[in-house]
Amino acid sequence: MPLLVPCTGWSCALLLLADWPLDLPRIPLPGIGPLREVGGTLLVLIVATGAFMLITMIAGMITLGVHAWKKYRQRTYRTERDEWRAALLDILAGEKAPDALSDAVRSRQRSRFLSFLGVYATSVRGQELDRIRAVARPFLAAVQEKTKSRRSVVRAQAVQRLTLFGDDTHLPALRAALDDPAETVAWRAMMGLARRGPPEDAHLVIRHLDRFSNIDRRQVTSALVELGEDAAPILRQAMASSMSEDEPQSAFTRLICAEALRWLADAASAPMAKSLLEQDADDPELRAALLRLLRRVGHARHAPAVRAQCNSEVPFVRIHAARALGQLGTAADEDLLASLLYNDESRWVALSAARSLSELGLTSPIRQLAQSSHERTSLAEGLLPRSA
Amino acid sequence: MTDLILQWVSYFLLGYFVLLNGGYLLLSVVTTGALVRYRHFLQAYSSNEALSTEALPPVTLIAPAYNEEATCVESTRAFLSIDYPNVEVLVVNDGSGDATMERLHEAFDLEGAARPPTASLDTESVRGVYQSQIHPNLWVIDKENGGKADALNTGINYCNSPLFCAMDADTLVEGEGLIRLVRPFLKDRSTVAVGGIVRVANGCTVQSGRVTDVSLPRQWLPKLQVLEYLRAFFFGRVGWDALGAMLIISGAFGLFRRETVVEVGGYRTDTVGEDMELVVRMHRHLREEGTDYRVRFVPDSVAWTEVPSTYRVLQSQRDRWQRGLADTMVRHQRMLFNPRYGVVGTVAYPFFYVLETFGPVLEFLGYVIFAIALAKGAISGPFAITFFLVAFMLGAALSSIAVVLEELTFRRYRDTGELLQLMTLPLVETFGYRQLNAWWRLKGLWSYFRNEKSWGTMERSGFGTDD
Repeated sequence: MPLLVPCTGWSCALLLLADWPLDLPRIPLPGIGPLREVGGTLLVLIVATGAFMLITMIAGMITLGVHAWKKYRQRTYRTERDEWRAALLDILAGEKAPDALSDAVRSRQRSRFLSFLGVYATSVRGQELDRIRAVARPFLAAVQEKTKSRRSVVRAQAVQRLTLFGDDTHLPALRAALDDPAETVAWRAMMGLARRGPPEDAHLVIRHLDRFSNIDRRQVTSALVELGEDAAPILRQAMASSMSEDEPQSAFTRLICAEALRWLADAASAPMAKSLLEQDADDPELRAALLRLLRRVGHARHAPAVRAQCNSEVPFVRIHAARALGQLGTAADEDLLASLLYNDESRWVALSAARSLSELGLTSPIRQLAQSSHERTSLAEGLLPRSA
Repeated sequence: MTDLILQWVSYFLLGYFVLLNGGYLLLSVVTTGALVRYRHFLQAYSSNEALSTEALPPVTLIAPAYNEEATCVESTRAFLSIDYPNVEVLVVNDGSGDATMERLHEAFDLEGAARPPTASLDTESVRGVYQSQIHPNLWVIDKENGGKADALNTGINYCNSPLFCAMDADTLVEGEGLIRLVRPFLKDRSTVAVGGIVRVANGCTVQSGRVTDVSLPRQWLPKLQVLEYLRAFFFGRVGWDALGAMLIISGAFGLFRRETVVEVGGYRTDTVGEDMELVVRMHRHLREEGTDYRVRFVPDSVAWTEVPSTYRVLQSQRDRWQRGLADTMVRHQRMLFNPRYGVVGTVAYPFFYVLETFGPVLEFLGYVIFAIALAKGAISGPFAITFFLVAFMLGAALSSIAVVLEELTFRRYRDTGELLQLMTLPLVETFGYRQLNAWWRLKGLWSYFRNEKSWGTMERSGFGTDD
């Protein structure tokens, strides 16, 4: 790991100590004693030294000042947190009313207090979470105001807090934030709506999904899953939407819906996935998502659509088709899977086929491969247990 | 004639001085802005919330181990205790000649298991794959010796997750370090690699594989490296990250998209700077392919590592780093000033190539010319002193900015006495330490041209011991 430490290379600079490299005109500076006549170079150097010295001193003073201030603040906050924690634990135990704590918080402590509560709010559920929300309620009007702040980071934090502590009355603010110009704010609003909104908000969330196509798909899927099982019909509709002319969806939205249905283990989406595979799923990533969905919730009767995808020209579609056959296939698929294991150009497809063969209890092609001189012998050997 | 040559050489070296230090001053400004923005981002981010979702991608930690019988159990336990919900640990025993494998067997109840490779990077042959019966997410791969890069490639071959984290066996990841490192991958799908900050563990208290109390080392050499690491990671990483031109991700702690690393062919085994070479090759490949990608740095994702505490080991390390840097720069010099490679080719690469790789030569040339000029009587006293002061104060200013940024942002050194020590270190290191470093780097460059490939030595005293 080259550290590449800044090195000022002062030895090089020393060369300029010689007068000849920069023979600048001399500037008369009366009253400086021995430096009465200072060369231009020397003057530049003196000014530079002074400037760097000033930077060093200012940096030093800031460091010490910040250090002292943070130490003081740390002490104050610790005391503050200890008091809040003791009161909060009493409230969570039902021994105190929520107002007892929220009334004790001064206006300048609000933001810190909500940050403090946030840690507990993400760790508890049910009645305890309701109590924490009751403690935070008096501060939410101010939080909602902050969703109109000019700074996106403040808006994002406000949306996050409304999600965490808010109730149905704050849903309009979250819905409005979906159209926020800052992606971080819109993303938090989407997660908030998915978590807190009614299933009907699924339409709204889905309409905004394309905006997040650069975000990790697992994250987007995870947010959609928060909508819950009640939103499954809307997700199914969106997944199949290219068939409907009213509200066509992008391939990205459809594949995220397929993934969310898989996470929800929505068995009712299997026939639709089969029919999409057979009819109009052109996008390879969508096809792969549908194959993953079928592997999770499909049945042997869906296997023909999966088998057809084993001949796809896109390697990752073949990978998922081969894997899905491990769940949906039968002994009749041994030749197809063995062919993928031996002949497919992609090692990943071969591996998926081998795993599916194992799942179906059809291990003889793997054993034969392990004993052969085929280039994939090591792959097969890796799948057969070894002794230590 | 001699005067004329000296004059032109001086101008050339002055250019180097101005470019190098101007570059660092500029980087310090960029770094300050980037850290302020990052602090704002953190205000609206909750790692608790991230941990409470189930959408974090699985990560495989790959830790090569070579003759680590004394520390392998402790460091493996440390890897297993990382705060991340979906992590698998792959320890690759790189043909150790000691009892590393036996220690791992005893401590973790290993049994032979089926785990087919998922990629086919060329590596030395694998003797066996084992799974722990105590920790099902711990796997040990026993292979023939092939070096660190070869061991990492073996780990990549057996990695089943989309992301892998390359680790040094002596590195300790701070609690939320991994989840912070994953964040850029979640935020932007085009992210292919992310580096975290490496800090000096010497002097810190380590319990159960975690740094529980941060302190400065007692010995001078590791202490000076604390300041060096601060400067290097703030200016050399945060600054370049803000400019979109991260060329280095430390081999001790970096998270990579497995698919991209396999696509570029994994780590090179014929270089001692395999970590930097991989990142530069990824830049080159992805730019040539026209792929949209990001290589990022996360300044609050911390890993702690033991640094050399003797001159001999430090010299060997710096020699190796300089060889690795020179090797990488020369291998990919096609990128130099090449607009096809964007800001990487036109800004970062020239900076690293000219100023960092060959900087030590210019530095020493400076000393030689200085001696000649002195002999010729061409140097006047006031100029000599003032120039020394400029260079000295410039170094002190850069170091002070690094210290103030540390205090303003992540603030790991909380003891006032230690902070004062940290603030005075820039004054100490100018006399001797910097010159030694330049000399070691020059020797490293010389070793590179002599085609030396050895790794040198690293003696570890282990965590929990004094320095």
